[in-house]
Amino acid sequence: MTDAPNEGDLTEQELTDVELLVVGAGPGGLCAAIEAVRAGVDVVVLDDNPRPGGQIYRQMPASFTREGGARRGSAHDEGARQGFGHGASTRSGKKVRAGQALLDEARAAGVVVSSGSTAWAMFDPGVLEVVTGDRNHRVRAQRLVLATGAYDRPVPLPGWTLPGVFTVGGAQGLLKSQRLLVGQRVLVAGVGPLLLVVAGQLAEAGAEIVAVVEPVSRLDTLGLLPALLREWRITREGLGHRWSLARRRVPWLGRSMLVRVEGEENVERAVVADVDSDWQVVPDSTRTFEVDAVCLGYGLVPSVELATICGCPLRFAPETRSWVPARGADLQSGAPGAPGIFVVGDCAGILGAQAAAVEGRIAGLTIARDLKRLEPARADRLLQPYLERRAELERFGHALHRAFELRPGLTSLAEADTVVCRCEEVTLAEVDEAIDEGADTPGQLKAWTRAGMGSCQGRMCASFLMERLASRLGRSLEEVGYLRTGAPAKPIISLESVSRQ
Amino acid sequence: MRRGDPVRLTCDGESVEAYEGETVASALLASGRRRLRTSPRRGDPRGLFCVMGVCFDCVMTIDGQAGLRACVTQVHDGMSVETGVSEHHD
Repeated sequence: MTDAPNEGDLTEQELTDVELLVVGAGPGGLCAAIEAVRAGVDVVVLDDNPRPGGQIYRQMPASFTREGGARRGSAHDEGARQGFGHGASTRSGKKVRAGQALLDEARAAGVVVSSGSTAWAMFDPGVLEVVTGDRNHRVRAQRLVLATGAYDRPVPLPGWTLPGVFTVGGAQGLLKSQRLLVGQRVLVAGVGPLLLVVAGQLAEAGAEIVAVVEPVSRLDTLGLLPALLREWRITREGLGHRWSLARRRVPWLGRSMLVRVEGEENVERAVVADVDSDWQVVPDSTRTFEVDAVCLGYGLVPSVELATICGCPLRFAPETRSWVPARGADLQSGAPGAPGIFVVGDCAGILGAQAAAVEGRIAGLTIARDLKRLEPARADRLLQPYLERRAELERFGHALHRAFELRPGLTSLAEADTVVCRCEEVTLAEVDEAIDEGADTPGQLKAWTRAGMGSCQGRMCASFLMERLASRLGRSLEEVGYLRTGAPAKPIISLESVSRQ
Repeated sequence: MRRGDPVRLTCDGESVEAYEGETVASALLASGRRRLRTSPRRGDPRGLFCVMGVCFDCVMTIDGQAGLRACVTQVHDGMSVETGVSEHHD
């Protein structure tokens, strides 16, 4: 990493003052902006993707248009291989309509999103450094809403760095925003609600799903039934995909895990084994599938990098085995010496898109009340149903987490020669050696082995490093702590040009 | 659904058809190219993983600039892309 640019260069730049700065234009950020703009607050929304919607409502590029029929006569349209020729299914259509409804509401309310903008640091309290293109801007906000979302939990296993191994989030994003399939013969492995949704979407788009592989048993998920029925509007999408997989006779292998991916230049084979209730591999139980793509989906990790840079204290969230910003009931973080920072959506705990939307509205209304654009009595009346709904969704989310709790065998898949830090190519053997020689925090592992020092800033390895430390040292996950990251919140390639200005 | 206007890129000197609005990653994947780079330390083949700009596995040399993520870089007509040993430099 280069050094941060000379602070003198930046602090001489002009400040833009806003009342509310929202980082992230997924459901959380958009809903916060909608409520605040409606109340007359001056709001700026930043998003680092080309179009708003976050991950769940990823949009196609503006130059793709919805018309009948796919483009013919190119690699893009060869049968089902990489195309998506036959229109969205009803279920995917519903999600697209939900996303469109939110985007329409935001537009109607007058929300303006600055796309392609990355908030990367906070050097002075309340002032965010933002890069758009190759220019840095400084934005001073009275209130901040962080809605930075989450990313797929990376699970190291032999062969996982081969081209053709994707996260389920990545496979879904590619399908939604580029109308491409990750492969023709796909094995989907992981746990949790997103797994079946993505497997279903891939199947409906024409991929052959050779198997869906999950370490839970059917019995494990039975206890979820009451919760699933209560939130039937949310769960019916997943059930619909489950049905479309069953209709296509896609094998669902329970009590099984993907243990190895093989191939020379690309994925060619996926090796699956039986596991016990702790997800430990049962010896001599493997079977091999010929595939050209593998999708891994073992839950999501909150993106807390910007929150920590802004000074938000973190707390350990056992239900997702991750660290999240601590918040009060009004979703405000306890960041000392910084203006009201609200943290909403998946970056504060994995509760899904509906919860993110509700939290966004809570934050937006609360901020409008704080800034005296809404009378307290009126604000409280508007907040009440959202607070209740949030509590319901939190209970639902926790029930899902309990049912799909990650078990120890997940972090026993990596072998000595398996790369566990993808960026710096550090193997499990090197990590274990460092632990045995005395490294007992993620930070020490990073200093010792370079794991976590690469371009991804530890996003792809920190979770595993924490789990490995805990298991090898016999300590709790909370005790080993997390990998501290500083600015930039995300690597800014154009930062060099910024510092030269 | 229709993609944008057709554009042409070259990948390691070979012509690749693509469409406006696509990312480099999509264009290469659609043309059957999965290996996007070689890892510097172990010489392993690498390609797409997260497809959302956070893993930095898909970094390639694009129009002469090394270390750009293929999954967040939009194609344009005449773009040149190279595989090979590549890593992201801040």
